[in-house]
Amino acid sequence: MARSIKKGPYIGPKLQKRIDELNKSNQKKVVKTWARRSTIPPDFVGHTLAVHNGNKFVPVFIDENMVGHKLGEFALTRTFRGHPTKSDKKSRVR
Amino acid sequence: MVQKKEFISIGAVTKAHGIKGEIGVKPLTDEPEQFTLIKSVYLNINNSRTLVEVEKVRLQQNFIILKLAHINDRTAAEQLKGALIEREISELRELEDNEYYVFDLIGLEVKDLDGNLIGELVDVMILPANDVYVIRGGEKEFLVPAIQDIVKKIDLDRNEMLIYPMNGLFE
Repeated sequence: MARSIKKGPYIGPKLQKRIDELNKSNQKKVVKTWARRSTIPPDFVGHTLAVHNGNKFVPVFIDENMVGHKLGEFALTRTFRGHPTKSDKKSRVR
Repeated sequence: MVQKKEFISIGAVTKAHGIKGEIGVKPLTDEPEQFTLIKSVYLNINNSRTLVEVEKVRLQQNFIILKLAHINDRTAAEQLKGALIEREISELRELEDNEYYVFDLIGLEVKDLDGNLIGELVDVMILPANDVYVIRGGEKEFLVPAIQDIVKKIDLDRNEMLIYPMNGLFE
């Protein structure tokens, strides 16, 4: 069952407070968080959050397409190490 | 950095398909469509490579059916199970700006903007939001997001990556 509209989206209160402080002071900082269930509101856009995946803090850069999703969606908890051969996988610096 | 006569795997033969010598290939590449453009591939069986012509290609959902020259029956196709389908690195396409092959990135020396060594790039995690570079410096491991705010320069010729150590990144 979906969350009641009356309540609005859940956003980790500690995380929201830290992002509000960064927005006020116009600073950029990597913010560590365990709040994987927290929804991403528009004021998180442009920040980099280190989201805990149960083992490490995975740095996640928030862009506008991620608004409305949960933080945990972007810090996967399981890693498929893949085939141990040299392949043509690519990486993009966004 | 592209070197001659080095190979990369683009697929692995998993099974024989049908009775006419076709093989089922699991793609190990981001771009399985490249199979339709390839005229020949290297077949790597226990580290011995042979160049084989590709006669026919069919793309299925997550699978590729290949018909190779001189493989004309199921028995011959079954013997290829476990082989790797490879291409020469020099045949790979040039990438756009800010795009890099993972095998080029691994082993880069990671430095801050003042040139101080932070560590060596040992792995690349491909994640939904942004790629993450795993950097090993001494006994510690750092995760660095592949974003322009942080990764300032990648110089493959000098084998180095310059990053801006944003506040909180190495905590």
